[in-house]
Amino acid sequence: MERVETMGPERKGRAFVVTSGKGGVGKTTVTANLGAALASLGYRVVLIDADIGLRNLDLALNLENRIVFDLLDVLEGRCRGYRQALISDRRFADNLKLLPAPQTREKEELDPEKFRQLVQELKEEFDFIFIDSPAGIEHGFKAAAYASDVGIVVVTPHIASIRDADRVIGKLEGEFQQPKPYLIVNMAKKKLMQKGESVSVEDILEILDVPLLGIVPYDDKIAAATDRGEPVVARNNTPLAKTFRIIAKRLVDPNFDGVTEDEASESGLLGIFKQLIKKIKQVPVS
Amino acid sequence: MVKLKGASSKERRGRLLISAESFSLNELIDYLKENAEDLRALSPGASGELLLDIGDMALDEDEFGLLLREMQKLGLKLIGVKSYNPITKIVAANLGLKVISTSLIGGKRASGTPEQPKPDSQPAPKTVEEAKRTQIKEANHLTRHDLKNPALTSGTFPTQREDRRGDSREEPSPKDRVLIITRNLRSGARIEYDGNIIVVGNVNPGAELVATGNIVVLGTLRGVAHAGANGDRSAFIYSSRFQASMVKIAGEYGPVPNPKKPKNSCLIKLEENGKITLKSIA
Repeated sequence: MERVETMGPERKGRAFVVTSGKGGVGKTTVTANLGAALASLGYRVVLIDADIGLRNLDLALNLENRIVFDLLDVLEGRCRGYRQALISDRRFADNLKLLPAPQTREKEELDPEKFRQLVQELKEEFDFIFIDSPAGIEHGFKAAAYASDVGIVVVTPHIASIRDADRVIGKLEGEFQQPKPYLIVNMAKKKLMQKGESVSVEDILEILDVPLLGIVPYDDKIAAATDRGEPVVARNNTPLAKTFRIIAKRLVDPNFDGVTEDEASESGLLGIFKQLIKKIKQVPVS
Repeated sequence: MVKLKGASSKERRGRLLISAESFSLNELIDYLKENAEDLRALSPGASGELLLDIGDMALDEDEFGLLLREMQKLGLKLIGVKSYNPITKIVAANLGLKVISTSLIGGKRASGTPEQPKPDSQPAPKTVEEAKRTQIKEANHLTRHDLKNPALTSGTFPTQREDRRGDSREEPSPKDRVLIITRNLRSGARIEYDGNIIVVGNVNPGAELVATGNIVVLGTLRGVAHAGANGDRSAFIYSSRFQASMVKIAGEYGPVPNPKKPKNSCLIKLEENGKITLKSIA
């Protein structure tokens, strides 16, 4: 079911909530890299850290020392509009902006109505808005979901992560009346999946029954790069950068049919991707 | 009665009742947004207080929350609902709203039907806390008689039905009642029903089904199913694809062989010796 749009037809951007239920599955890393990939493709992107009190997204982008104003300063009128609080990432030709979370406040202090209103305003100026949701299904998640059009659910191939993702998907569809969210399988270990020692992507899709946006392989380089504050996407020709760029292109164009090296090298995975591309095409994209 | 594009409003004992029976939740919210000013003006003392007749719309707690939030933003206050959907009634009552029951029997509030006249606002249905958490959106009733007593109960199931001999339109016993759910039940969903449950869709791990009668899952059952929940030892569970690690029948529970791969067409019964058995009837 399409959510009720309160803005007129002039709105351009789409607001995605990146969420998972469970913590530690890579929401922040996925948000940073997906945003960076879209920015490097020339789209105007804003990343909002909605994890009030536990901000991390600035670290993943190495923008911590440039924070002056934060999300609650904007919502509570302590700075002149959101533009004053946005931090521009120069590595991506200023196409990538960050709206950081405050570190010394509580989740409950985020006013869902005001937040939603802000996201609506941002849609006028940006093509993509990614809201990095806090883990859990409480106030912070709810405010992030309420402000967004559709979800991107990050799941790892672990039973607990799948169970929590399932709960979150139910919330997005039920409580927030959103269309089916997109799914990103993060930290996929191909070899373990092939040996049957890890839950396979097929199994995840069978349970969650949502369109797959992409598979991000497990790679120590990602964690290291996130710690350095450098999205893997910044290094143009690595396989990981290509993976995120392909996932980004799928968000832009549901008919995009490129596959990543990983997907192409695995006949099994490629088969899944053919199906998934079909599924994505069925999802209404505004 | 004032006609308002698509819906109608009328005075009901000094209160404003809006008929929006054929609306979906989103349509209803849209309608309220478009007509908020008129509705406020029509409401007693321009208080914004109104009743909604939402017919068969099934609203769970979250959806009610959405509706209430939207109405609050519009300066409207929902004081009660008129509904013949058992789930909606239970959730509304639990939220402290006035619940006006209607019945489908013999047509909606057919005039002159003797047993129809009901007090304006019936006492809130007694329900289980858990019923609030059910997320049944497309629940349909095979038999739509079951409207006086809330179909969903929580915890304690009524074991005795009101004696209604002489009434040609007798309520069916729980044994004959079926709740049909046509969607996937995700983790966290819990459905309790005093009767039989049919799910056309998957029951995911972390979801729970509790029925006083039988449970049929036309899809993959990976969550917990409890059939014969008030002690019916003849109740069965059938699943066209079975991959659950636990089933319960009449309070007896058994680890059933948890198949690594889903097993097709499984019938699960409670034997006389108290053991739960699983048979593939494919």
